[in-house]
Order: sequence, then structure tokens, then C-alpha cells
Amino acid sequence: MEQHQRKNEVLPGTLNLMVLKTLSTLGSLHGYGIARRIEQISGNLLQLNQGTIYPALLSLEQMGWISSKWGVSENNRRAKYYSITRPGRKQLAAEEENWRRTSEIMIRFLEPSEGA
Amino acid sequence: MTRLRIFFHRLLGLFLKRKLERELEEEIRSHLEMQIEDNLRQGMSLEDSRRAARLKFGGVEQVKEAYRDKSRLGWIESLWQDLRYGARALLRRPIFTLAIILTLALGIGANTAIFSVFNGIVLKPLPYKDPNRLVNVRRSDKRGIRYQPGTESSFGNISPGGFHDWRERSQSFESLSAHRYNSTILSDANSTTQRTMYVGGLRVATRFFETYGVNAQLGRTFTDQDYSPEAPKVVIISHDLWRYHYGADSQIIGRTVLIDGLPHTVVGVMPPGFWLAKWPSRIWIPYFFSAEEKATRKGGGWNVVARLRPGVSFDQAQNEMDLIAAQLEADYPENNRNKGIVLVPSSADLTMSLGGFERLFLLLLCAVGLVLLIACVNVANLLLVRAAEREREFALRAVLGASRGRLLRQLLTESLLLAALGGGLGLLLGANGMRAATALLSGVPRLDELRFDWHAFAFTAAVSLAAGLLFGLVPAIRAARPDLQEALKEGGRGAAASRRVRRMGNLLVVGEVALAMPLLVGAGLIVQSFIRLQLIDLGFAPSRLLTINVNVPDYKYGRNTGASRPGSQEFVTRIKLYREVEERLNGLPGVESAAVSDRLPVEHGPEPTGISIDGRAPVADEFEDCAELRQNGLPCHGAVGVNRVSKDYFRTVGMRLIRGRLFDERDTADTPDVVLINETAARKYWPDEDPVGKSFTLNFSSWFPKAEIIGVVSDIKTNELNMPLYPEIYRPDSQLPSDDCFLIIRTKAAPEMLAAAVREEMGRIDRDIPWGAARTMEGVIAGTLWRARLSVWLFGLFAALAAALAAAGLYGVMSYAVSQRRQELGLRMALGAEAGDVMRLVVGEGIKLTFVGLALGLIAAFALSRFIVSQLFWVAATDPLTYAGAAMLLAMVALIACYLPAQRAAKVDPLRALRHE
Repeated sequence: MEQHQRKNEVLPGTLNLMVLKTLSTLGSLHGYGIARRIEQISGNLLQLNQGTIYPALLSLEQMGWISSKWGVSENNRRAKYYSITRPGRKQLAAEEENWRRTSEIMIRFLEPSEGA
Repeated sequence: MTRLRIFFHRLLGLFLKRKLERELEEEIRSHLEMQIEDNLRQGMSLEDSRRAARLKFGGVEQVKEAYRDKSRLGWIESLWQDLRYGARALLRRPIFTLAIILTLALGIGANTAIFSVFNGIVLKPLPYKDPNRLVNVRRSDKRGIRYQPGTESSFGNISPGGFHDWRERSQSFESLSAHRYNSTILSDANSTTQRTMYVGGLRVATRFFETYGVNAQLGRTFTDQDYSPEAPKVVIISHDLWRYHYGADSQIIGRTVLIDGLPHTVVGVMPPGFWLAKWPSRIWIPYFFSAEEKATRKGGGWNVVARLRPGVSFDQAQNEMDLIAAQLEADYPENNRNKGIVLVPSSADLTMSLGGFERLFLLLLCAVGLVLLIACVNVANLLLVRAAEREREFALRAVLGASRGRLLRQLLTESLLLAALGGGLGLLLGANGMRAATALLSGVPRLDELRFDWHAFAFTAAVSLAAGLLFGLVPAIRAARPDLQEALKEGGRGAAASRRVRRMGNLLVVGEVALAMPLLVGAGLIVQSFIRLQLIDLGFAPSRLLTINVNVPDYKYGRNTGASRPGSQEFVTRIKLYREVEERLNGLPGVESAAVSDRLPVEHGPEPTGISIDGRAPVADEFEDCAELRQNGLPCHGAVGVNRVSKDYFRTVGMRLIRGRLFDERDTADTPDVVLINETAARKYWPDEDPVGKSFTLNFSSWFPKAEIIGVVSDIKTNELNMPLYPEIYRPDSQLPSDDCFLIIRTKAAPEMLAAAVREEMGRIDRDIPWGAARTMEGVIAGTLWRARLSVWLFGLFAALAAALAAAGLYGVMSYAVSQRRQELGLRMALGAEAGDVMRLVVGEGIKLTFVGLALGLIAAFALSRFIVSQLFWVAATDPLTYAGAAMLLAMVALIACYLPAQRAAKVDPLRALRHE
């Protein structure tokens, strides 16, 4: 896979989705952990200032899709752990479905048409 | 739903600011440390690790900002900021701010209070259905007459037979009913102690409540069953009776009360406000007309009210009644000869006709309006001045980057802050003002219906606040214009602009002073009037006089039907009663002298009764109240007031005997009728002769007491204080007793102390006699002056307000002028002017303005003077002394207002002022 030098900016709203998916897959995680995971999955194709995750986490918490709790990390450090909530899971499912549909439609448009 | 969650989170965030910040700090620190560790593990050096971590994280401050924005409600914060800044700005000039707030509050509060009272008592119509379809049906002594406004009193009421005739024959009305007013004695069925009360009652014919279109609030109105003679007796009571006498008892329906000694069951309570202005009744009783009564077409007594049928106009109905009148004349000539039927719209009954009261209120309303106007002008003035002073501040802020919108928002917030404070205070003042007004107006009907009038408040508030906002924003709009250079140079004021502002301010001040003058003059006139009223010679000493009014129950002592003659039961019982009362009261310790009288001095109207002087030729003039004299062929020579008094009356009140003798034991029902007259009567009717020994006949019921004058007594004021003396005659109650009476007692000590003892004694004489209020004579006199007192109080208040406001306005304008002219004054002082000269200069300006205002104000006061004449007594509305006094007072106030800024001007350090380029 070719590594592009130009990184994509994070589309607004996608960050929320990424956070939800991460928490849904990995369970309870602190802010740093979420940021690292997103970095890994996107394979450095994403231009993300890690710090921006924190306002996003606040938004998600305000909307009720994740919840937070202070705990102790692996290295005995105090950290805030986030987990996805049930409404969060529902939201995740809805958005996943949405994205899949959108990208299907877009791909169909962007591929050269093969017959009728 | 989510939006609501977000909102609440953010709201909470406002209060948990510090905690959230701390937590974020910790999180970020944690994050960075973890990243650094990872970097270290990957083999980077400590420094590189740190740098890489920070790079990857991004801008910490930006993250914090973004977080902050999301964690709280941004707009609330900037609003709060604006408010704080605004408050600080307002506090920097506390006097100004206070002046504006007070002005707004006073204008709004006073206006609202007065208007609420006016609305509640006078304007608001009583709760009848379609009141303009209601008419009173009256009898007139000439056929073909139509109603004209003001002629109500020339028509009369109708006999029971006549009522039924009208009812049967008319087609124009949906329903017709009738009522008769009399006073009744109400007591509790089960009490052995006295809980008796004297109340006004209406006996009503069928369909009374339906005609008025009012339903009972509790229970029911009368049905046809209630009107049969065998039906159980029922009564409906008024709302205020239920509330105050029966304590809003929820079990009132079905309760038994005694009306004139007979048990009645309460079946309904009327809603508040149901009453007729002319016949204030608190109970309603169904009246059954016997067959005889229905055939009685003689006499009167019944007031008929009707509701027009839908589609029938007033004139159509009147035409029908004319036809009916003609029919009745043909059918019953001896009763209905030339009698007509007139329809009178019921509106006079249905709203409060308060006589002179109305005029007073209108005057007050105008006064308040004037004050409101002055208040608005003042607010405008003050704001304008303040704005001009702040031009520099705003220019500076604009230069430093504040957008026009921001500046406008800032000023708007300030104005709103002022408006809110002023309005809030105004609300408080208004509500309290209403309470004070109700206290002052005790005795005026419909008082319990007074509610704080929100419409008035809203209107007044809107007007004042609009003025405030307008003049608050004008400078904002100007300041936001990019004429910054102009604003910033030359000591911070553009010359042309400031001149304009000065001129505006001057105009406004002149206006305020001019508006305040009529109020001051009015107050001065009213105060003088009041003082003169109080200094009137009463003809007797009012101190230590106790009065108690006594209602002798008709059901026990007999009713005076007009056919009473000496020897009638009702006369005999009363004569005996009054004699006993006088004797026993005179024997009480602490009583100097006691008497019985049918009228109280000062309180009564003249109530003229015609007299026919024996042996005198008829005169050309027409007099009223001579109908019965004329019917019996006696010439009418004039009218007098009739008093029926016990023999100790004159001694008790303190009247002097001028000639002849007073009443004594000799004058009884069996001896010839005697009478005493007062000096005014003697002078008027027997100017050149000795009245003692002469006799005359009174126009008094169907029996003519011709009485001989046995003496002349001194004059006392029987009518209201501002009315002239009236010819009065006195008949002894041992020959002509009254139905009810007043006890008048001259006490040795304070009169109030004796009231209980007197009542006890009366209770021993007869337990069934109910009580009216016990009042001192001084209290009675003060009571008649309540209207004058109210005027004085209110007008004085408004005048003071107006003067204060004008002074405040003047102060504002002068302050501004001084601050504008700092350099000029500094220059003058540097060139040798003394402090005194500077002061004189400044004050001189102020005086000039004041004089112009005063001159205009005097003209205005003069022009408006005729409106106040109705409230004045023995003071001309153009009394020059008052005008001069008011002008001087206002001038002095203005002088003080100018003095303070002038002093400030004189203290200006010339060097500093000059340096203020």
C-alpha cells in the first residue's frame, strides 16, 4: 500500500464515530488509549492532533453516548476511563449503517460503469 | 431530547467550571506522560520524546479553549460579562443611575397604582350580561317624554299594579322585573348575643336575576317556586357579605338567618361586583305580589328593569311603551291620567357614578400622566447627557477593536439593566401604592374588587422603557459611527455634537420645569382649600361628642308607611323609646349630656322639605318638595331642613337659644305641635318680624303637622363644610319621632371610652336594636373631608415628585454643561476669574433656563386652572399668591440643583483643565 504524504483531515462527526467504534470494540479505555487506537487503525493516513479528542469526548458524554469514570491506569496513573453506553451503541449501529450506504452509493458513482 | 441533555450538561458546566478545568488538566498531563513513556520505550531520547509527544498532541491551549467552549453556555457567559460591565459603568455614576431608576420607578408605579384604582372602581363595568340591553322603565308625569342624559331624577317609580300592567302588555322585552329597596335587619338565627346588622336589601319580583343576566356564584338564584306565599322563605346574599360577615363559610348554603326577625334560608351567594350603584343591597328576597297589590295602581315604590328582546331597539321599545301608556290612561284614568312611561338605559346604575369623585379621579389621572411625562423627559435627558460624556470611552473602545455590534449590545444591556431595575421598583411601588390607596379610600364601594391592573402596568412600563431604550440607544448608534477622530481629539468632545446635545438638554429641562409648575400650583391651591375647610366655624364644639347610629327595627316598632298619624302605633312606641333612651343615657356616669336626633350635623345633605307659612300670601316662585302642600291647596313659600330631636339636643350639641324657649316636658303628643327654627330660617322667612308665635305647615306625608314657633336657636353647620348655612327647623321627637336615630352624647372624658357603656345600656333597654358604628363627632367631620384629604395628599405627592424630577433634570444638564466647558472655565480662571465669578456664570445659565420654564409653566398653570375649580373651596383658581409661591419654590429647588455642579466648576484646577487638550 502506497503511503501518501498528504494526510486527510478528520471530517467533523467522523471522529465521534471512530471513538464510539473504538470503545465498542475495546471496551473501557482512557483518552490516550483511544487516540493511539485511532492512530493505529487509520494507519497514519489521518492527520489528527491527538488533543482534539478531548473536546470530542466531552461532546459524546454530553449527548449521553459515552460515560466516564476516573480510575487507575496500567502504570498506576490516575486516568479518566470512557465506556460506550446503550444509546451510544444504538447510535453507533445507526451511523455505521449510514456510512456503509453512503460509501456504497459514492463508490458506485465513482467507478466506471460496467454495463447497464 | 439530546439537545436538552446537552443544554443541561452545559448549564451544569457553568457552575463546575473550576472542577472541569482541573480534571482536563489532569487528563492532558496524563495523556502526555503516557505518550512520552511510549516514546521512551521506542528508544527516543527524553527530549525527543517530549517534543514528539507535544507535536502529536497539538496545541494544548487550543484544546483547552475548544473544551471550554463546549463545556459551558457561551452566550450566557458573554451576557453575564456585559451585565457586569454594564453594572460597573452604571455604578461609576451612582447619582445618575439612581436618578434614572427612581424616575422610571416613580413614573411607572404611580401611574399604575392610580390607574388600577380608577379602573377597578370607575371604569370596569359590573358583571352583567350585555349591559347595554338593560333598561330601567320609569314613570313620568308627562306623556311623550324621552330620556336625555342627566334627567334620570325627574322620573319616578311605579305602583305594583302598574308594574304588572307593563309586564303584561309589553312585547319588546325578553324579561321584565322589579325591585324595591329597603333596609332590613339581619341577624343570626341561633345566637342569643347580638349579631345583628343593618343591611340594604332588595325585594325582587320574579325573573330578577335572569333580567340582569347574572348567575349565583354559590347555590342558585330564585326560581318561580320561591315566589309563592306558602313557599319557605329564602334569601340570596352578596359576595362581600358572605366574605366579611360570614367569613366565606363554605357551608353557607342552607344556613338559616333572621331577616327582620323572620327565619330565611340562604340559597345563593352572588358573584363579587353584583350590585346596583343607586341601591347598594346585600341581600335579595323574593317578593310575592298579592292579587290586591296587582290591582293597586296608586302610589309607587317599585323600580322596574327590563332586558330588550334581541332585535328590538331602544327606540322601538320606547315607542311601544308610549302606546301602552296611552292604553293605560284609557283603561285606568284616575291613576294614569297623563302619565307616561320612559325608558332609561341602565348604564347609570351599572357603573359607578361617583359624582364629584369621578372628576377628582380624572384630575388625578391627568396629574399622574403629567408626572409620567416629566419622568420620561427626565430619563431621556439624563441618558443623553450620560451618553455624551461617554462618547470618548466608546470611541476608544471602537479603536481598540470593539465591533459596532458589540458596542450596541453593551449599551443595550445597560439600558435593559436600568429598565429592569426601574420597572421592578416601579412594580413594587405600584403594588404598595395601591395598598395605600385602598387604605385612604375606605368606605368607597367595590374596594374589594381592586386588583393590580396588569394592563396599566404593562402600558406604563412599555412607554417608559421605550423612552429609556430610545434615548439609551441613540448615543450608541452615534458612538458606533466611525467619527472616531473627531471624538478622540479636542479633549474628547466634538464641538458641534456637544452643542446639539446641550441644546436638547436645555429644551428638555425647560419642558420639565414648565410641566412641574401646574402641579405645584394645583397642589398649593388644594392645600389652601383644605386648610380653609378645616378652619370653618361649625357653630358648635365638636370635641367630646360621641355619636352612635341606631336602627329601630320596623318589625318590632312598626313601620312608618306615610299614613302614620299621631297616635299611630309606630309613633307611640318610638316616642316612648326615645324618651327612655334620653333619660337613661343622661343618667350614665361619664355623660355630660345625651340626646337623640334623626340627623348628624355636618354629615347630612340639605334634604329640603317645603313649608307653607300660615297667613302668608302665595309667592310667585316655584319650589320643589311642595307636592303634598299643593295637593291640599296650601301655598308653598320655600323649603327647610327638618330635624327631629329630643329636648336635650340643643344642650348636648351646644346651640344657643336666641329667643323664645326650648323644648321641655310640656311638649308631648297631646299638646299643640311646636317647632324651633334656626337663625338662618328666621332671617330668610321672617326677616322683619319676630317669628316666635308664628306657625307654618310642613310638606310632610299625608298628615300636616302645623306647628307653632316657640323659639329661635343659633346656627350650626348641618350640611357639608363647603356648603352655606341652611334654614333648619327642629321638631321635638316627643311629637314627631323619626324612624331611626342617632345618639349624640357629650362626654366628660374621651368619647371612645364611653361607647361600650352606652351600647350596654341600650342593650338593657332593648336587645333587638342593632348597632351602627360609634364615631366621634370629630371623626364624622374628618370623614366628610376624606375627599379633600385625599386630594391634598395625592396632589402634594405628585407636585413634590414633579419638582424633584425637574431638579434632577436640571442637575443633569448643568453637570454636563460644566464638564463640557471645563477648558473654557479653566481658561477664565487662569485669566483671573475668581471662583465666585465662575459659579455665578454657571448658576446664571441654570437660572435662565429655569426662568423660561417658570414663565411657560405659569401660563400652562393658568390655562389649566379651570379644571381644578371643582375641588377648591374659598380659593380662587387663579389666586396670585399661590402662583407666586409655587414659582418661588420651584426656583429655589432649581437653584440648589444648579449650585452643586457650579461648585464643582469652581473647584476646577485651571492648569489641569487647560492641559486637557
